[in-house]
Amino acid sequence: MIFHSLDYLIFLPLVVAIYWMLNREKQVIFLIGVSYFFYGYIHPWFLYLILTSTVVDYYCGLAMGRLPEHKHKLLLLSISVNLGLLGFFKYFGFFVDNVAELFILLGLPSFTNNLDIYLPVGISFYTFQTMSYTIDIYRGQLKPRKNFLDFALFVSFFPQLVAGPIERAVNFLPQVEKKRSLSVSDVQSALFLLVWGFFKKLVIADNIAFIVSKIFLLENTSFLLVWVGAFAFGIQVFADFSAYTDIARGSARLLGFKLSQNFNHPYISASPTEFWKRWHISLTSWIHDYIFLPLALSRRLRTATGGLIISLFITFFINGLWHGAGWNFILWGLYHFALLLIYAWAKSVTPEHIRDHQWLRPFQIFLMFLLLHPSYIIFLNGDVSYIWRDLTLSPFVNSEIQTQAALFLFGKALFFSIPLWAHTIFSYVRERFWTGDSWKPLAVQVVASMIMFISILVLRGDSVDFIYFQF
Amino acid sequence: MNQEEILTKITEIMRETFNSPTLELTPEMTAKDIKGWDSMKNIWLIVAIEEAFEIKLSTSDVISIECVADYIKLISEKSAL
Repeated sequence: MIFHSLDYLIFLPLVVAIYWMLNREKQVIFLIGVSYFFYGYIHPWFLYLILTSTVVDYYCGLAMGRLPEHKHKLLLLSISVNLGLLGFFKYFGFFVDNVAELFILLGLPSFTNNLDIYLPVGISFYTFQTMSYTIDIYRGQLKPRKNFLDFALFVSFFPQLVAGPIERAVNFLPQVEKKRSLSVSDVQSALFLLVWGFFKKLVIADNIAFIVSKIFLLENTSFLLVWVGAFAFGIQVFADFSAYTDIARGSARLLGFKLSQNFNHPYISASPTEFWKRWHISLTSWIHDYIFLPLALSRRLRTATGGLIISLFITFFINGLWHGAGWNFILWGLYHFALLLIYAWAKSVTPEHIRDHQWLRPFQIFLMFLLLHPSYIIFLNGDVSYIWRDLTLSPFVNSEIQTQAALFLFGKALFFSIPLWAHTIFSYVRERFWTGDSWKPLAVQVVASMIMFISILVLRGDSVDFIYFQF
Repeated sequence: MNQEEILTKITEIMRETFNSPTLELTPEMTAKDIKGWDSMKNIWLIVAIEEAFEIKLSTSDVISIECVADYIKLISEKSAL
């Protein structure tokens, strides 16, 4: 089931109403049932995969607690099953295609990939989430859970199952295990998150999606058009993905759960490191804790500068690959790796009083925002040969009609992005200058919600799937 | 080595790692309070602390550190072994 559907608008209130009539144990069973219904709504056979992941990790976790001397083997089993599922369903086709290409290059008899594997939605999210459970037990940071149902809910909780936030067992399981409650302020903030999420998806992302697809499908493109397309995609992907997170957080809050923050105004980042602390936070912190840290602290890599660079390279290679089975995604990850490396070098040669001067921050934010645009061009071009073409277009060769089209589409993208900028500036000012902790702008939220609700009815774009569904 | 001595030594290491000669540390400070304390510098910091205190920190140790006080606690525990 998808969030921006009439089905969900019926499903969510019904689930919330029944849920609060039940006691804690029955709530858990009920939520597992509705989560499986939500996930299997279109493709019921996908449920076998999530069930496999759940059963394997539950027993691996339990066995690690009882047989600590075998915990290494059990962790390997858990990781092999999860990565095996992910590898087969997401990367097998990509791997076979690349081997076939290699055979052609080497002059060996080639073959074609006849297997058409359907990618189960959300598999990258829930496999990462459930692996964190067994890894944390292995590291001694979490106690294995005996209650299978509590664990099954951690893996399948419908609001964040398909596109995150990727929750950690250490944050989520205690919420499953305790009695939950719902206050008036929870309902207020949940409803605001839902309206804001639907507004970002239906009005901002879906309207801008039209601009992006129009530009990147052009055979005869120009410098201005490509960079306007990159700008529009930057807005679309942020609005789209953060909308999913907000709807997930709002839905979860109505059920008494608090999901983690996934975005923190990424477009006011003044550096690549700051950007990764603000963008897709749950994935970044997962990759940091379970890939980067173990690599960088491993015996072979921990002492030399080269070791740190290799760790960072592998981390961003995997980050790119996580996003999709395509060279464009890997190149996207490596572009961000290069940005981080150049930034680390620039920081080391710039005196502190210049680097941290507050008047430079707006300039740094603008520069960082510009530097994200090539990454969008790389991300969007499934055919890698188009990346180089798009990145090397001359700024001086634009026909008049292309220039007019680019300016018109830029104006449209800018218009639809205004609420995002306004929200970012409002939140930034509130965080920076408001010191009271009980400030609840109810009136502002009510007025904003009404405006957004009317806008959804009037300005709604053509419905497009959430971008992160494909990952 | 007592806690104050550990704090003094960590301050020296952090000043050098973060290239900030005037940095003053308090136990409750976190990465957010110290400019330049990012993932990459964190690795430099861990290696420098390990060398200075002659200890070994595991990935689990590093993940459990949230503030300077956690470093002090961990170092005094590991040094005592």
